[in-house]
Amino acid sequence: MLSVEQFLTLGAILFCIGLFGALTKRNIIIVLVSIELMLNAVNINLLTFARFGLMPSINGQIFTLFTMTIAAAELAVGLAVLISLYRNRNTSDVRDQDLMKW
Amino acid sequence: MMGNLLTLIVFLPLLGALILGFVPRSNDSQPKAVAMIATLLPLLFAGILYANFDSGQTGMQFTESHDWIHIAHAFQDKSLVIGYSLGVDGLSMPFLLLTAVVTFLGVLATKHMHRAKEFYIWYLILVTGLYGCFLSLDLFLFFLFLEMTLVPMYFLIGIWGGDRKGQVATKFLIYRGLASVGILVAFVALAYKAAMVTGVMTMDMIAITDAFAKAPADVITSSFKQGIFLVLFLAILIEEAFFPFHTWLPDTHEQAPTSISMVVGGVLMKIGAYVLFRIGVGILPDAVQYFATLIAVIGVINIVYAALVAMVQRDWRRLLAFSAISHMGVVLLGVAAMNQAGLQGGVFMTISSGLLSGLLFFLIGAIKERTGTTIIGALGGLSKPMPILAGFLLVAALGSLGLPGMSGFISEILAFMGAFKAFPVLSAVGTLGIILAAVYLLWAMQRTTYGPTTAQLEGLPDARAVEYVPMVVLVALIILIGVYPSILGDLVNHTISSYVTRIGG
Amino acid sequence: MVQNAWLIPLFPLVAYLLLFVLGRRAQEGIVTAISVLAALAGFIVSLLILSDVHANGASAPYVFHWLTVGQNTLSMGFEVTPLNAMMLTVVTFISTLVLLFSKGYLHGDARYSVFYQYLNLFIFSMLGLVISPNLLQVYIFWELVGLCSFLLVGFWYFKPEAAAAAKKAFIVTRIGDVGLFIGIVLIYVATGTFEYSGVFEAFEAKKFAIDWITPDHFITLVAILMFIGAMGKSAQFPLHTWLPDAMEGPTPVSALIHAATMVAAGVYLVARAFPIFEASPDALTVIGIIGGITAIFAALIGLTQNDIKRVVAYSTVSQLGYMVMALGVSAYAASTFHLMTHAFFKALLFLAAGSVIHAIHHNQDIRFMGGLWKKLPLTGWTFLIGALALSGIPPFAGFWSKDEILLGALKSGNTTLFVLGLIAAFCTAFYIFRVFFMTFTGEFRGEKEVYEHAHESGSVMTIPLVLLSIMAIVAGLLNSPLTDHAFEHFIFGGGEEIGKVYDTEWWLAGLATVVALAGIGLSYLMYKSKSINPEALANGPLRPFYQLSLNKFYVDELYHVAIVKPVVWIGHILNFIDKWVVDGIVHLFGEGTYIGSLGLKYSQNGQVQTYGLVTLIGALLLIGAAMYAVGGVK
Repeated sequence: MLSVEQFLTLGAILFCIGLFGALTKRNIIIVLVSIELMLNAVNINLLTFARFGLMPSINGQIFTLFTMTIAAAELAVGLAVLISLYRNRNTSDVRDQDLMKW
Repeated sequence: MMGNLLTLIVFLPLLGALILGFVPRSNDSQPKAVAMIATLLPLLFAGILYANFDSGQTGMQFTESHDWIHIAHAFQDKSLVIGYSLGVDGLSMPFLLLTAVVTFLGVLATKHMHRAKEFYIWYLILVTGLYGCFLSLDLFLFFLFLEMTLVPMYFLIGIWGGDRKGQVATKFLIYRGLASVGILVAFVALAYKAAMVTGVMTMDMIAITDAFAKAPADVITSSFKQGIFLVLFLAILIEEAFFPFHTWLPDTHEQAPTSISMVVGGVLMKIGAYVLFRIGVGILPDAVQYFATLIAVIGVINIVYAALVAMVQRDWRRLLAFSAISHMGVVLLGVAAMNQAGLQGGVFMTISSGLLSGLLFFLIGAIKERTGTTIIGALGGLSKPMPILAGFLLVAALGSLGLPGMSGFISEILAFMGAFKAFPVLSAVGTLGIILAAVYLLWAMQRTTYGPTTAQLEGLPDARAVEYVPMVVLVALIILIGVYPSILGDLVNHTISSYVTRIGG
Repeated sequence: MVQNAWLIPLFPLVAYLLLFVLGRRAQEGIVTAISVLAALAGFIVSLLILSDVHANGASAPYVFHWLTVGQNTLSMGFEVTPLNAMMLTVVTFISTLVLLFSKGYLHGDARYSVFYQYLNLFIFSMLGLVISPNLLQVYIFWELVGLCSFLLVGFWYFKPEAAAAAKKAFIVTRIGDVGLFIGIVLIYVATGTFEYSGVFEAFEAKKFAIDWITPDHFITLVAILMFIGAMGKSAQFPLHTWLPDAMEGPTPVSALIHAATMVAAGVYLVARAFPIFEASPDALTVIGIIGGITAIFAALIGLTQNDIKRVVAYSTVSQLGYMVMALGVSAYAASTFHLMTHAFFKALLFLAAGSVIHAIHHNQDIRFMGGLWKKLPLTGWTFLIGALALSGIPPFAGFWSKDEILLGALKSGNTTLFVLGLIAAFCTAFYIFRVFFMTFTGEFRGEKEVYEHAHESGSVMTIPLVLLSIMAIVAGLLNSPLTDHAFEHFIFGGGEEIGKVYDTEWWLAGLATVVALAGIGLSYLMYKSKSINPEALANGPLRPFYQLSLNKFYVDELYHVAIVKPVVWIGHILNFIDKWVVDGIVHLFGEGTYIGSLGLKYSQNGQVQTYGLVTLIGALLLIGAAMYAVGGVK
């Protein structure tokens, strides 16, 4: 039987990897993937606490389903934006996408 | 039928705006027709209400009340209750009629506009907001409607304004936004304290008024009331464009298109006065009394200061803006007196100033349309090419400087009858405004219509048939109130009396 | 009949509305007919009422509810007293004649109908003022009278001088009006009513609902405030400057303003509200002094003016000074009597002057007149009668009334006022005959052609002159010993005497006549027989005085420098402050925000990953702070 700490450690590791990727990678696709990693880390945490928390209930699992749905939607939109950005500017480098600066 | 009339009045303009959304952009005359109907119907309904209004009664009439938002245990053990409730009493009736008349005439006064459809959509939303402000019986609802006037105004000035429209629209938005903050804070504080008495956090004006009237002194302390009133009063000073928070008004009038100037001067800036009467005098009378001297001093400063500044303005619209500020100073003076004559004079002055502002801005708009300018020095001798417009300008100027037989005079004398009782010396200083009003209005009027006619002003067309409607209607109302003031006095008398008995003065 | 008094102001109001409806292109004949008939009807009703009052005395006021203020009611209505019955008759009589006269004078003017509209409104306002039973209503019509004078003085709006004169008339009288405004508001605050009867009662009992001032001081304060209003309307020094400038209006207007409608209002108000003034000896003293100063001051200016209408205008100011002085010494009957006689002969003088001006193509400068007696005999005769009446030569109207005023001044013990009055009488006789001699005798000094074409005016203009001449001759007899002072008995309504009444002193009458004759004689020597050269005097030893008088004692200039300029400067300064300080602070906030954001905007570099990093650091800091706050991890 795995303990709570192990689950949470896994979640933390995943989150940190995702965070590192999202903040440092140049390729937008990698950034999106990293964000997915972070979301999944959160999911793990939700499920952990739903099972082992102070007041175990089904809420955490339901919330995980929400997150997954939203992640899917987000990815779809994100990819769509990415494609149109690539078509227009011929690059997928995050640092070139700075139209919204001053 | 009668049951939903108020809702109809409030939301018909909004419905009109909705319908306009489906009108093709290219068509120019359709939007105006829709806007006309959407403002004429409320005018008719307001007329019906007026005909059925029982002025002998002090309470709210034609009330509509529904639960809207109900949050249990919103604040500790108290639940938050927000209602959708509308009603009219002797105080709001004149404001309702004023709004109905001026907003309808505003549509009539609108000339060909680019992007007419959008213009009227914003205009109609603004009108709904204005009606809502005067008819709401719920503080939350009132606040919503107040905000509803803010956004349309931003676009109406920002898109259709003069050469400094962007700057002025922003100034307008920020100034009035600040006023909204003050009003919101005051409202929440009012509701919160009232909840300590009633046990329910209600936003209902009547319930709060009652709660404040009968609350023991240790539950709602007088220093708390004074605090709320100061916040509220600050907001009113901005809302009503009183010195030193007035600078948005001359700019707005200078930049806004004619019909918007009419609505701003005629109705929008009167919301502040309405709040002062309804919330200040109605709910916090002891605080008003506590600060009476302060209010009177600010009133007198406004009367004299604005009149002196008006005297040296070059632009008609700025002059009229300062003139309106000077007139509204009389309202403060009347309110500060906190007696029957003073308060009644304050209401009279608010309505009268609304009608006169509407008329004057319309006339100046008509002159601008013909001559292309509102700079007083560039005009002259207009009596010759356009005797009718010049004649109406004369009447409007005379009404504004308080000539008996028109609404300005009875307002002034009532307010001063009250004010002299409480503040003889301050009031005497305030009467300087009566002289100065004659100076600047006659000067500007004569500079415009008297004297020799310059060559380029020769042969300009006089009033068109459609222009007669706003002029005649407004002048008729102004003279009607002046000659037979009971028509307005009977409406407000009982409501004001009930306020006065509450303060024991 | 008294209950029908409301008809009198109604006639001109209806005429006004009719003319308004007919529009500005209505035919001259119809316009005149409507107006004259309305005024005439008013005159007939006034006469009936006069006889009714004569028989039955004053009536109680008829009032109706106007506005409710809490528990108090403001009412409007009308009343008839001997005083206002007299005023009604005089006003309607003179109005009728002026309306008739205007047909000739204004013939062919593009705004003929408008002129008659204004005149009717003017007459309506004055009549409304006269029959008011309360101070509020008086004030309302008081202002309307001011409005009408504004409109009529500025009737030729395209002339800048006319526009300026109209504005001046309105603003200067408004300064006075504010005094009246404060006065009546204070009366209301103190007594709770505007009605004459209620106010008089309270003033008699000296019971006022006011605690910041003693009753006696309050009475003086209110009386002086109300008198300031009267000063503005009746052109008393120092608010007299508008009246001579008002000569820019058409001459019939001047006649109406000077004789019956506008300037009479001030004296009428003081007379009507006399119990208020009588209650304060101090106020009466002030009134007497102001009246005396005005009488002599205007007479001195009148000596040197060259505009025929201006001379007559200054004579009005001077005569009003007499009336006010009379009220100040409590010679109530004398004052109201002079108000009446003056109305006749002053209207006469103005209309005669108008006839002259009309005949020589609207030239008003007497230096370019002369020898017109041959051309305008009737005008000459009537002007002479008016001049004699004004000078106070028996048996003309002015003699009887002026004599009583001097008598009142003497008996009141105020010798200074009496002497001032005598000197003013001398000056008056001198300057009005200066005008007469320069206009009607000698050689014509203007263009020959004008003189050739000059001819007597038509009957619409001469009939009023003749009728007014008759009144200027006989009106004075109404209060002479010959009729046993019938006017006095009438004006007191058979009741108690108001003010003070004295028996005629024949030596005084003789003295006044001698003084007036001396003035006429000097005038004759200087301007008819030319045995004294006026120009030599003006440029010789009397030059400083001549300049002072010619320039009206520089009062206008003084006002311009001392009041108008400073106020405008204050306006400019405040406007500057408004723009750069009040609005400046607002802009400072705006600019400050803008400048601040100019620097801060570079933090918005568009790199999402940078934002994310900053957010992360922020979140970590917050978490750290929160953990520190709760005491760290256990």
